Amino acid sequence: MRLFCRFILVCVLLVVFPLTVSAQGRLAGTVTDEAGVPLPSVVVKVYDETGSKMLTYAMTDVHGRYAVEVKQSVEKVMVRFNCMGFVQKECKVDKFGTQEHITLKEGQTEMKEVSVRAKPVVSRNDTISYNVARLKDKSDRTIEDVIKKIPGIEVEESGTIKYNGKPINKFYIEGADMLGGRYSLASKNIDAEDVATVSVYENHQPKRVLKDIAISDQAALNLKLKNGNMLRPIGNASVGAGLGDKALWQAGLFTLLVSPKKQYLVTLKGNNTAALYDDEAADYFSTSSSRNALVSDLLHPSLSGPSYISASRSCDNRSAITTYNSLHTLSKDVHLNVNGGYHYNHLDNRIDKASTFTTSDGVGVVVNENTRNSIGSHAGWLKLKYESNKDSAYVNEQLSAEGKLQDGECKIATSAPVRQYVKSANYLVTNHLEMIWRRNGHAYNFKSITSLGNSPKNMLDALTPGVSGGDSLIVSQNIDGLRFHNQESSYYKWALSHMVTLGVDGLFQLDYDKMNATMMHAADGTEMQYGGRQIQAEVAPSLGLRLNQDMNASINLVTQYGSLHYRDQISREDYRYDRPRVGLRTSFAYRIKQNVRLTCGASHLGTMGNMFNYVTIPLYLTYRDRSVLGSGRHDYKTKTTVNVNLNCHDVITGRNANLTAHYQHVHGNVSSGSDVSQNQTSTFYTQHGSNTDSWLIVANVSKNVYDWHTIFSLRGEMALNGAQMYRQNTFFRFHNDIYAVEGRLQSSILQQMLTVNVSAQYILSLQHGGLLTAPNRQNDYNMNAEVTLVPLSGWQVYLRCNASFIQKPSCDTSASRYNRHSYLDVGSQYAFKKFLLELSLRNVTNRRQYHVRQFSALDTYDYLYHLRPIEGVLTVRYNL
Amino acid sequence: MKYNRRFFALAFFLFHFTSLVVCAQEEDPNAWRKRLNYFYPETVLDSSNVECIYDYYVTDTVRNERKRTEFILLHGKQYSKYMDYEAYRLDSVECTRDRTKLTWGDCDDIRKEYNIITTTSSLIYLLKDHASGMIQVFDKVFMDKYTYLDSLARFEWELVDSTREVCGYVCHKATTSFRGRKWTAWYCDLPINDGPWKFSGLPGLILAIYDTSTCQRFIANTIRMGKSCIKRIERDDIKTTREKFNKALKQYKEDPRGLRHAMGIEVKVVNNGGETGTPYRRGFYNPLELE
Repeated sequence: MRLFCRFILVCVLLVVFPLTVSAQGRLAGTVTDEAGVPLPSVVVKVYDETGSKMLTYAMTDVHGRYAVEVKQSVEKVMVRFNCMGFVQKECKVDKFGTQEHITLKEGQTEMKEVSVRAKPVVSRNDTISYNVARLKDKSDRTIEDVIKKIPGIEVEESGTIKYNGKPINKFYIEGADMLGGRYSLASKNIDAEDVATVSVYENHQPKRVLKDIAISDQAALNLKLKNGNMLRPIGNASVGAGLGDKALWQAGLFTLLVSPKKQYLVTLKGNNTAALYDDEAADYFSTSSSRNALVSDLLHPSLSGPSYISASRSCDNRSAITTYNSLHTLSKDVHLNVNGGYHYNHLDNRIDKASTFTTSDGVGVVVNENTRNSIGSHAGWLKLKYESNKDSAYVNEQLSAEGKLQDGECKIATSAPVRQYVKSANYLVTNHLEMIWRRNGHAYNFKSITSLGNSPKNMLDALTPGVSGGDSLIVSQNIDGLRFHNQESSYYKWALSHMVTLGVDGLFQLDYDKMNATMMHAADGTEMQYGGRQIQAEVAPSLGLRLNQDMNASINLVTQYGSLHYRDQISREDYRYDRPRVGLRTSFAYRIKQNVRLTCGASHLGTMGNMFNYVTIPLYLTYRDRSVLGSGRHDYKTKTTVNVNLNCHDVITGRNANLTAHYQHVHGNVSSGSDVSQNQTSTFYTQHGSNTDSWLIVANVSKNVYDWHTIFSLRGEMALNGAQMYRQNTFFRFHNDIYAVEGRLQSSILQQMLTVNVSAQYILSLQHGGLLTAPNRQNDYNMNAEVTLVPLSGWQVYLRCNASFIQKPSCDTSASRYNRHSYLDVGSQYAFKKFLLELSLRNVTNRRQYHVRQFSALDTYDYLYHLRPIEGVLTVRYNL
Repeated sequence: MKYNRRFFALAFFLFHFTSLVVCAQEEDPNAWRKRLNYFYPETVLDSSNVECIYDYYVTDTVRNERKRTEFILLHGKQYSKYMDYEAYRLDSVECTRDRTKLTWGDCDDIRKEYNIITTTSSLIYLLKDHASGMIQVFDKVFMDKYTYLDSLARFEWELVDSTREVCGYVCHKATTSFRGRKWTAWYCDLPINDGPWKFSGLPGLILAIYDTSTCQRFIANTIRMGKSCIKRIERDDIKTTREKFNKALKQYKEDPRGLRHAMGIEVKVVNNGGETGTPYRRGFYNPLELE
């Protein structure tokens, strides 16, 4: 019995003792200030009895309550209560499990202020200089890697450098800007080891004379080289060889040389692998159509006109281009730029063209022309730019000269074979002068553009085999022309308040034109000479309103005065036109929500004609296209346009939608027309008013599925055009409408190892109205796919394919309704050390023909392009 | 009205002379400077009693680049605000002026005078409400601004018996795991339950914290008494969730070109020799939260 009771007592003690211990481990309570207000975020720290070792801690909640478990088995603890703005309180606790109420007294919490921040390297006003050696890491190779580390700098994937979110406006090397907007050529290739400092010029105004007058919110960068350093030449050299239906070759050289006083950029390239260098050469030529002689664009060396497919698919070529760019620092503020180059192209192609002309008798005229074209062109340019950029005055004088020679031979297999020769020569000299000078805190500027365009030769000869052997002349014609152009413009803006801005734009333009033409056709001869001048003056006051942060609008009242005086030197007839007119231009932008934007615009403006309006003697544009350039009266048009754009996007859900609508109505006092026969197409103008309406509506939606790294997009386009013209003495209205739908999928998977870009497109073209008894319909289907695989670092494999289904003409009675085309290119690149190897195979399916069908007014044109065969090229590139 | 040769000759020379004078008229280059700057309304939530400026270092191991930005923590009685330090400086100066009359030119002068640099970080600011236990984050993806709510996480800190000095204060060590990263923090004895970014939950102000990969690092360079208003900007930022926002930001940074294409913005590249292409390049990206 005693044993049993002892056993029971031990059991009770074993159960009760742990409970006593656990009850002793919990501390809880409330903390308030002296007024009894609960104090949140009070730090409650529990220390051992000596107060040296912290055991645990807690924070009071919004009601001032705390609860903390002391896990170790201790009998006594020290608890400290701390809160900013109150005096620390300590208390010893030997009793656990009870609710403690703590009151804290207000007091100053001791806190020392400390700062260990570093300052920028060197900062003087708007210039901050960074020592490259201190910024550079071992992994940094190019100066771009170092530039990225500068505070405020962001370098985009395109190489564009931004400072404080805005693109830099200049990239200097030793204070000189040779490359202009192409500075990534330098930043991605200059070795960081060759540069001493990189300076950031904040709020950089490139024209010193405008400093503190025209404030810029953009910055500029300047690289300063290590003392006496000429940079090692930068660039690459490549050479390639291959095989198609003949031996293929390509070679190229690119070098950049920079020294403190001089900079050079030289390129030299050539190939017969269908790289024509047209885009690159176009950068150096004047883009303004108002400067070249009017006659310079009349003739085209190819009978088919511009190609509807890439010329690199359909032409055999020999092409070369060389460019030279240099900058010389003549003194601290004066630089001389010299740019020059030469571009050579020789193209051979075969195009079969079938033209179906609708006539009033309903029968129509069909003209089949199988052409072999051989076109050679030579183009050269030289530009000199003198720039003096001083604090008191800025002078920019640019003189440029460019010339293009083209020589085309076209052999046409038609009902009677024809040989057509087109030769043209065009030259243009332009002077651009800008001067700004400064006096008493005001800046005065003067701008002038003067050019002389000369087109001394635009020759067209067409021959056909004669009955008795030899050649019979169809037409021999030469046109030469000249244009002198001068333009000056200015503007002034005045901010009335933070909401209202007034402005006025002024323009004065003078053109002197001259043309002579001699034509021999069969036994007839014709000669024409025209000359005269055209003056345009325009003053456009404007009002800008900023209604609030999200809404702004502007309106321009355009007042113009136009004066023409041309004379037919042979008939002595004078043509004059003098007329003022008023137009309007408005715009409106509204941010409906943060990610929804609406912009609208409308305008009603008049346009002037030119000397061609009075040229009523027909000229030959091809061996069969005989055209009268004008109606004999001034061709005046008014254009009314309205455009609307709505965009909304949501990055989180990955959705984007865009809707654009554009409408234009053109009313003219002259109509065009044509008469067509088997042997000739005659184009003319009549003094009959005309109206043209066009609509363009584009809708675009896309959805980005983040989890799949894939973007789905759908685009719809509707282009409706209605106009009027004469055909076979009948005036009628016609419509050319195009409806297109395209679906696209872009996906990067396997951590960007595989990239896929696939699209499918359907195009419906409609031609109706006028003389057509029934609408013509054309259904085309296109599919494109592009796949890139990067299996290993430095190694890339790509595939590009295209499949097209082009509807055949209704007169084609073959079994299949569609012409099927497929095109496949594959290739691979491998980079190691300083070498890059590339193997490319083009047109793997050896597709040799490609069909294109186009509607134009009431006519239909079917083109059959003969394509380059399967080709393979191996290229090796070495980086200096 | 007849327009004879003399008239046109006169008009020609008169206009050229006039254009010399008109063209020679000064431009009004200050037109943009006079435009009034727009400030969104703000709600003052609290005022800071302690301020701490942190250097934030982040490394993108894929691009092999490192960036440094400064952030400031404004700690008040109930609210804390964590924001870009340059934006704070700009705001501090602008607040001393009459904002209803501040123009773009005035703001530009302020930037120049105080050498204020705009940050490239996407985070705009975050607000911690210690009473409700919630964080409101204001951030952006490309040009769009978003906001989402997060909770003041209950960090499971493990205290370590180790001390070091940070920014002139003796600090104690603690470690934790938070949303995919392991962190080591150093906190001082100032009784402030706060730290940089979303960190908190230690019995002292966190003056330094870094993850074990050392790709993310915060280190205080200044501690001072507070003197600023803690404000929330009342703007129509798009409301979302933390998970959706992080996913969208990740997608944008991994393929900035994709988002721009979707918005109709094309990017072209001119390589050596004038060839064009649109190469892929990942944006600078290494997020604080991996989960």
